[in-house]
Amino acid sequence: MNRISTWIRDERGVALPLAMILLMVLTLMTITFMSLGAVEPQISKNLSDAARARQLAESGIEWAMSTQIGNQDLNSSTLLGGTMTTGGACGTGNTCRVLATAGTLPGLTSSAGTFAVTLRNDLNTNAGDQQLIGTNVTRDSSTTVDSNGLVILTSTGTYNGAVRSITAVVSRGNLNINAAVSLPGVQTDTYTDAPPCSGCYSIDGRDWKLADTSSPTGATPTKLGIATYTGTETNTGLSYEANAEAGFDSSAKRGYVQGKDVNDGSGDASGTGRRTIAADSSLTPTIIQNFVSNLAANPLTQVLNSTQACQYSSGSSSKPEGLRMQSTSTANVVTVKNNCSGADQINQTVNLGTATSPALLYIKGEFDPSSNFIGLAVSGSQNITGYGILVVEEADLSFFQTSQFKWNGIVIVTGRNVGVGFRANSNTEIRGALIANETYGAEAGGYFEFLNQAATMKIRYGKEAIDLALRGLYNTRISGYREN
Amino acid sequence: MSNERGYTLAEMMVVCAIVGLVMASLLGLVMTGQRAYWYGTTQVDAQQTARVAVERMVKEIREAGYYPQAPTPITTGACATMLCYQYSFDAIGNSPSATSLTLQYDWNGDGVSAASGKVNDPILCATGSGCRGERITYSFSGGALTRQEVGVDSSPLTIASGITSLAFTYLAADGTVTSTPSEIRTIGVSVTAQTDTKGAYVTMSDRIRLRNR
Repeated sequence: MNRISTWIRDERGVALPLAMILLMVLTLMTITFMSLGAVEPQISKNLSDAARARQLAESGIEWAMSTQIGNQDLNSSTLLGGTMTTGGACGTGNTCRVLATAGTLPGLTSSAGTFAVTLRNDLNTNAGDQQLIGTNVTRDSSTTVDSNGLVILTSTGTYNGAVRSITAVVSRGNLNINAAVSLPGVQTDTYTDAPPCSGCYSIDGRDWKLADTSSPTGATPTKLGIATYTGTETNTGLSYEANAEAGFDSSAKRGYVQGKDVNDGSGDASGTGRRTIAADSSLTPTIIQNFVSNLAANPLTQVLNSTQACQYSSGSSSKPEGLRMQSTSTANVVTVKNNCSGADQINQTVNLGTATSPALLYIKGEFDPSSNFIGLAVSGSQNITGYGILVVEEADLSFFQTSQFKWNGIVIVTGRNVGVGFRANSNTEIRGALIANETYGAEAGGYFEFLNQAATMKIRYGKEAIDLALRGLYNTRISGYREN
Repeated sequence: MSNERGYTLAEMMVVCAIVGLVMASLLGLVMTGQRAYWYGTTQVDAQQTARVAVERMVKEIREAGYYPQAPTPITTGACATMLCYQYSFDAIGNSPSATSLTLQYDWNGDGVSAASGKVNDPILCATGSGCRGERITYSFSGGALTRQEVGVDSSPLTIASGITSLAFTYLAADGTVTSTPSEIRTIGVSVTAQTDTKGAYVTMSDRIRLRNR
């Protein structure tokens, strides 16, 4: 009994250590459970942050496409031609245009995440770019001049430390036009009368803005008067350039061509005549055909068929005409007709657009081995004003109208046995660019790609009008989307 | 201090009885909590499984049909009045089913989606060597989701198990269900995971628009 009381007395004070141990165990268990419980919310948060970062990156792509790229000429002073950065946000060794550094979602602040967007040209010195844009495409040689119609857009979204990047290859139907008149095809036969009066004719590579009336005020460096394909024409044995110059066989004829000076020893005055007719590789038959295919595929393009089955057998120039465009009392509205009745008949009103809503008009002609078929004949005695892109494929475009036909944008005649004709007594101004692209090298002599017998004919290069036309095309699209 | 002579046996037994009663009632609570915790754990597991399966697939489905070079426009037939492009391969391989599909890419930009071997992806492959396959097959069977990348995986690899059901649906541009690979523009994915027989199950669904078509 005495020993038991001693043992009990010796255990006095054990309650505190026991309580401490118990408390410690409970604390450890609590911490463990709490930390285990915190893992799942953290995983969820990480996933949520990553998803938001990716969505921000996609927003960056959409933002750039809709506000920066979709309706712009990339070779302009604000995009590829603008302030370029090397390295940094562009990546090591890359030169790009930084479009946004901390863009935010509409109506939200940077606390909801940000996106950074860069735009760069593919480059032939950048090894990986060949795979990135496709191995069948020739890479560009300049960081600021996009010749192949492909650029690389990168968007990085950031949210709460999560970062996601998207790289998109953007393709677009651009045209790198370097002249008032381009003859990029495999024939460059030209004919022109001497000007019937002073100032009646003009092929001018200076930059005419839409509002300019007496002299050009555009800032774009002066372009060539006439640009041709590089190489030699099979039929004539002359270079495409010399062949084009052959049509301007008097000083009076050469005098109305002016533009960027290329001193080729011709003896003409600086910036006129043959010194402003030169070969230029910016446009080729393939580039034009691809552009026209893109245009034809665009849902906004109005396509009209011009067939020999429905032709007017003998028009104003005694040539068959597939479609006739007639002026109306409204300048930008015309009627277009063919000579058929019933299901094949075309007799409709066509709106030729405005500066803010340019038209895309595509006349799909039909190959004529005799070279006589006119796909679109313009006639009438009231003014016609159009904006946008006018294409005549596989047939001629001829102007017969006696009042002014003024087109602000790009006029393209392309295909086999084609040409553009400014016929007697007609009055035409093209502000932007004219392209006559012959794709058939064996067309007989005497059929011209550029023919001028008009009363008045003015073809004035205009960057503003070209941009307006290309914007109307809206065919910029993402052809390669990948998350990095 | 002289009064602190310890507890009697009777006192100790009373205390034990009281503590025993308290602990017995606490045990019920603890067991209920334990069951809830276990159920929660199975839910977490199922959720993780479904997430892994969906997240992995969604990213790769989004990129399916990667075709960096500008495709050729088509202007004939029905495409005369709508925007159509000619691709040399479809985003989705032949015979997609509700439980299996093959995603096709052109990582090296050569215009084709290689049926075998690795190719060079300029962004992800170091120093120009081939490191990626251009076709990925996802397949569900026996409760497991497998993924096989040609040229990289010699056999299908299980990326998620404990899946009770998985279904792909294929939609054309106009939202109608289709099984024709060239028409597929959107893919729906639905995954249900249950990692223990009596545990919780989680269903996750997503719709992915193919960004490259």
